Amino acid sequence: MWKNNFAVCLLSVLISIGSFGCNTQLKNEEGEEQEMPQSEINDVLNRNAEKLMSINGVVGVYVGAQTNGTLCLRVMVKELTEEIQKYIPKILEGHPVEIEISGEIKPMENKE
Amino acid sequence: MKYSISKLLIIPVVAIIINFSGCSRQDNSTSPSTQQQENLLSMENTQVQSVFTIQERHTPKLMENSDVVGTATGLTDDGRLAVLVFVKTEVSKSALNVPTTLEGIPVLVQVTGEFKAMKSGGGGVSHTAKQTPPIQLGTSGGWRHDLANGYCCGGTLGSLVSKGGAQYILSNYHVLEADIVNGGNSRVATAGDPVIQPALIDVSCIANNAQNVATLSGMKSLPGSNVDAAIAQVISGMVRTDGAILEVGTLSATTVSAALNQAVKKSGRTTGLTRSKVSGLNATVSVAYDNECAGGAAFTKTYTGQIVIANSGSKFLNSGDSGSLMVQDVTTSPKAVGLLFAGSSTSAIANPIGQVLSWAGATMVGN
Repeated sequence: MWKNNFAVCLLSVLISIGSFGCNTQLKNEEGEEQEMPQSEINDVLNRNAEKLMSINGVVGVYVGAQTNGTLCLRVMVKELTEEIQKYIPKILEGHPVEIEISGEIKPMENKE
Repeated sequence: MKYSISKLLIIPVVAIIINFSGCSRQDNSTSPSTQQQENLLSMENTQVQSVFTIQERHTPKLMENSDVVGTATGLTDDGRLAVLVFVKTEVSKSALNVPTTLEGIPVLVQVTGEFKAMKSGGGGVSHTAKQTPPIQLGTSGGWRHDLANGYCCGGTLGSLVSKGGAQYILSNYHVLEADIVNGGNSRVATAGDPVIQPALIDVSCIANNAQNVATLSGMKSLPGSNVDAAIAQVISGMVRTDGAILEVGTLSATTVSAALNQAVKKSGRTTGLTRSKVSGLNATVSVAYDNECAGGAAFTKTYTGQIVIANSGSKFLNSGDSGSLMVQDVTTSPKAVGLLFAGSSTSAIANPIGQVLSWAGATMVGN
């Protein structure tokens, strides 16, 4: 019985943690342009950027928004590798993490 | 394009709106034969009207084919009235199942390519041509000596800033100042060196075919600072003092911070005027730089706090657009948002304009 209650309690905590990030939506009343993301997700990004960037093949990480307006962390990678799939979490401190296969980010000069 | 526009009479149906500036190619000769042909092919001509009717009757069916981009009533090479069918490519032409005649009228299939909308006021603006000074920005440009290792390089002269009472072109470090080794051209970018319009890449690498419009300031933002920026002092009379940008016009002198989903546009050497939306903020990104045009690796810079812009298929930003200013997508006096400098085929990256101006100790030229 105690174990069951503990499991339910733990599940509730996890759900509330998981849903916290998903509720930090940016859409205004018109569903248009957003103000700067809440500092909380920026703090999460800043805390984890160096570690994410150290993963082989990661070239960038930023705060983006999903199509429903939910803020997320987006990780830009050269290509999808097993290492990237293994080490990049799907949720980080309550915020969803998306992988963007961007390829290398290059200076946009031209040469002929 | 193989068909002669002078032989076209009516072009009532195309896939999208076309600005037929090509019509200026029409033969304006008043020779009797031409005059007779024009009379023959007037809208009042009953034969023309009957072919027009046939064309209209079959157009919906013809346009169901995704390769067909339009139809018209025109003439065969021997002067007979015909229904013209425009298709995208030669390959699709052979694969088309179009009859040789429609109700007894010959059908000509012509490979026109895809028709593209040409917006009024913006159509046909070249971002690579040598301009008559004073030039507008959002144009091809670069360091006059950006030639090494069998290649020449260039980017975009993006916008105009003011510093200490003088005007400077704002572009990227890697467009103007990034040659830091003697390497393949026995020189490095040095204060006072000329900046040219257009860039070497648009004059077959021959600097004498371009014009000097500014001189390097010698300020190098990289590798030390968090922006990829350079400024070059304007040579008097060579750049519009109001800072006008091709297809954008003049700016607001004030700037604005980026916001998610913010609509933005830019005017650049390669893709011209393009629009997109801000897709990310506070980006940390790593970008590798060469030590000269087509040179060796110089350093990899990790930026923080950058702006990310949707760039699917490199339609917003592509190679040669570096140095473009990203502004609000509004018609009148847009505010600057960022300095575009890097990207991939999914995302473009811009330095926040506030950081760029702080680094330069400059302000935007605008209203």
